[in-house]
Amino acid sequence: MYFDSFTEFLQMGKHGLYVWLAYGSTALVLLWTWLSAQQSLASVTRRVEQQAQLAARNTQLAARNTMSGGAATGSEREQNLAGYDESET
Amino acid sequence: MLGALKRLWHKLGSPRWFFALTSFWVSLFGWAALLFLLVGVVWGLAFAPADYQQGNSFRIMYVHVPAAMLAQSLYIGMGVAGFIGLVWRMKLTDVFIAASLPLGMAVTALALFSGSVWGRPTWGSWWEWDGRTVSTLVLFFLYVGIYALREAIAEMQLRARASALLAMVGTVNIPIIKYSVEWWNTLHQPASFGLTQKPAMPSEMWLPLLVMVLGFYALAGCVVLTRMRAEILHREGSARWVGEWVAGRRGS
Repeated sequence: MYFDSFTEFLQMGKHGLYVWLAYGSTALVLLWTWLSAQQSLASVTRRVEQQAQLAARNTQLAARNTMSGGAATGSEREQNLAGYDESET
Repeated sequence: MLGALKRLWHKLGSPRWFFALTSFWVSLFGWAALLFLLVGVVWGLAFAPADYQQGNSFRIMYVHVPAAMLAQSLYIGMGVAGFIGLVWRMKLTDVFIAASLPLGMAVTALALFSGSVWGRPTWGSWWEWDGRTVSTLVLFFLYVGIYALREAIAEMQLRARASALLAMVGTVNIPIIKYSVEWWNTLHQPASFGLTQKPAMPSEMWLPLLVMVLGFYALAGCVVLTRMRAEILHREGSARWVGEWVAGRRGS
């Protein structure tokens, strides 16, 4: 330890303000770069998962419709369309 | 040998392969960054001896120098990626440019700010129109310029080509930053740290700097790879392998 006491460490000679300003801003900026990168990966992952779920649901619906031999009921068709709208935004 | 190299080259261009490979490296770089930065900060702030001329303000060097080095390295990386992207039409190079921009901008701003805070007690002024300061400001504007250009162009191929070109052209600024302390009569001190010569300071002063530089670069590895993964998912969202990856995630 270079300093004799914690107060001396905080004061940094007479340069405390400058040293702590530089280190504080560095901590904030580095933390932000890390957090924002994590956040951007998380949000894309969430969207891709939603799209995959939607696609799975649509194939299921389509399969059921072919089996029952008719077109989808009105409400199911609306669900389908709503799903496509979501996936485009 | 040549065949293997060629295969590697083709694999490198494949977003899917890259995505699978990088998961491990993101955590490795992340933990390394945490370790190096913690050790470096404690060492530099509390254990390194004060400078005989600058007193304790010299400790700002431990954040200022790594930030400035990374700011330039990332830009060089973007320039090289731009060149490769223009010549070989590789998809991943544009992903790299997009992923490097936010971090590059942030660390360039950090280098400028910490330099300003260091300049106040050392030069007696928050800002000097000094060769190195101004060329670093130009670097910051180059980052902002590429960012703005990308925001303005919606068509993907055109956006990739335009930013690759600007990244390449902007690299002429890098040697200007490097040699600014020699070309112009300047306040900024020359590098006290180089690959080839012995550092002009005792080891208990430069070792913490080395640790901090490693920490900054490891963090850059983690952040840029994470952003590249996000960008790849975003672009390949409808590809089959992404669907398989999602299914695998839910299963685990």
